[in-house]
Amino acid sequence: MPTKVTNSSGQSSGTEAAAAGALAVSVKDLSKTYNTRRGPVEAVRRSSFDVRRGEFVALVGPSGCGKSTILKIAAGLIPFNEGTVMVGGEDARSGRRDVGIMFQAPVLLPWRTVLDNVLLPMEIFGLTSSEAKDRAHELLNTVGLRGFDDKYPWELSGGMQQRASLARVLVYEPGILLMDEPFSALDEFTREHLNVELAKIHETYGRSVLYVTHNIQEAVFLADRVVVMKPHPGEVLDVVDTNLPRPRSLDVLLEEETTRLVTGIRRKLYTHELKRGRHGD
Amino acid sequence: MATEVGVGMDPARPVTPDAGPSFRERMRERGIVSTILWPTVSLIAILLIWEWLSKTGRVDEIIVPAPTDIAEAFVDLVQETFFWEATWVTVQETVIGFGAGVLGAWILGTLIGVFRPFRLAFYPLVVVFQITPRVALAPVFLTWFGFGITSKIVMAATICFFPVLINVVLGLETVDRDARDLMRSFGASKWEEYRKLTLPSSLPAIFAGLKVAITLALIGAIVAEFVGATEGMGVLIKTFNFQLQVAEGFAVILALSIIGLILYGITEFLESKIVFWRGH
Repeated sequence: MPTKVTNSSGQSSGTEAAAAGALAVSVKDLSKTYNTRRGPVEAVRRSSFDVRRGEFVALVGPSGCGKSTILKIAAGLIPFNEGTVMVGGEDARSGRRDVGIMFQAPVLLPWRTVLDNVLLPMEIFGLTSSEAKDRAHELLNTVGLRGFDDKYPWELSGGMQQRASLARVLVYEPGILLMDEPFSALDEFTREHLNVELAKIHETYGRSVLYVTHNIQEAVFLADRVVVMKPHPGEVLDVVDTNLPRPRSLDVLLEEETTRLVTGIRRKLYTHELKRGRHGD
Repeated sequence: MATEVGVGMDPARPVTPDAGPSFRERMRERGIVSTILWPTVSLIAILLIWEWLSKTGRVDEIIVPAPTDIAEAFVDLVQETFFWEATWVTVQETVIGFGAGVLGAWILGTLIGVFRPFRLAFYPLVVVFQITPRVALAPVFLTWFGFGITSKIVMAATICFFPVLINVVLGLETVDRDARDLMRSFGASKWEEYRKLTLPSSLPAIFAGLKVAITLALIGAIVAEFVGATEGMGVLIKTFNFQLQVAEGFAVILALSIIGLILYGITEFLESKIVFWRGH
């Protein structure tokens, strides 16, 4: 399988207008500087990449590369300084039914049952109905939480909590999913298991996904394209097409091509580190 | 015994949600034997020594009556109508004062926690008042509101106002950032965010404040009664002591600790029902 390597700046020309409708997320020349007490910190510098409709894009890089910042900007949760960030053809903003966000922590409300946690977005969107309840129940079955409707989040393991969190983001059927290291706090086996299910959900429902992770293997396994970022300040180093077959199953992880891609991305990041005269961990 | 309720509660310090395990949680952790048996053993030992000191004349029986005399006085006292009238007055002052103080603290605390200008304007004042010994206001309240029940209610409300206020503000600060982001990503209004996230999130901290406040309210009511009142348990204690009926005085103090324990128990019970997820 040939691996096409495109430079991020190479894809933002020509067919722009035609592509606008076909783009789930479009980040162009994005710069973001945080004003902290110790002075300004440049989190993201002139970064560009796209997520096409129905595409799974992973944003990978070490901590401090601004990947979570980009995700929060796309979710409309924090402002940015320069560039444009379009989500579903509109400027990024919060409170959209076509965008769903998932964090590293499950963020379930401990005073609500699992089912009521899943129904939380429906309540806020004003979509409470018996059908919504039925769908939430169905989704809990789909994500492997059959019979846990009336349990409280603290009665669930970390992996199960993140499953409930996944059901909550899927319940209102957003076309675009923004995921910030959703499984990184889990043990490796649980994480791989959930990644397989996430791949399945992506393949079944065709949702566009922007997935932030610091795990290169995870990025390669899940994504159609991997956006590689370097830290301090965050900048896009490269965009890598994975071209791995779908549906993805665990044996994709064992394939030579996967290893080759992972090594390639790792080399890019380390070469960059070495060029800066600093040895990475 | 009377001081047991207020021990270890520094009013100048905000109470954190993890202020301590509840009675039931202690029971579960350490088992019934260590939770109940040991304190009972030490209490009986103290009472026996006390009894012996008093009955053998090593301390003056009139000034320090023996536990059995106090028990006797207590049994006589609970058969008197005037005792129950005094109890009713003090409980009313405590509970109404507690309610008023909590309501006020809740409202001001929420404004301080939610609106930045309010915080900048009022929070420094709160901290200053927090260090002021509020019982010192009792004579002032007497002048303002008279010898009746009102000055006691105001005192009780004032004394339990601050710990609740501090904990309401603290509770609002402890709301999970991601959860806030999540609510915002759904486009929740300020009111929805408050009702569905901020308020329930802050309840454990608020209840920690309430548990301190209920005992403080009782202290406030009694102090105000000492300063000037015509009825109430504080008046009873003062009267009995003036008449050198010290055993009867102690009996009223015993009744006060029982009332304190009951009020605290009710608050803790409500906490376990309302904030059932606490500690998870």
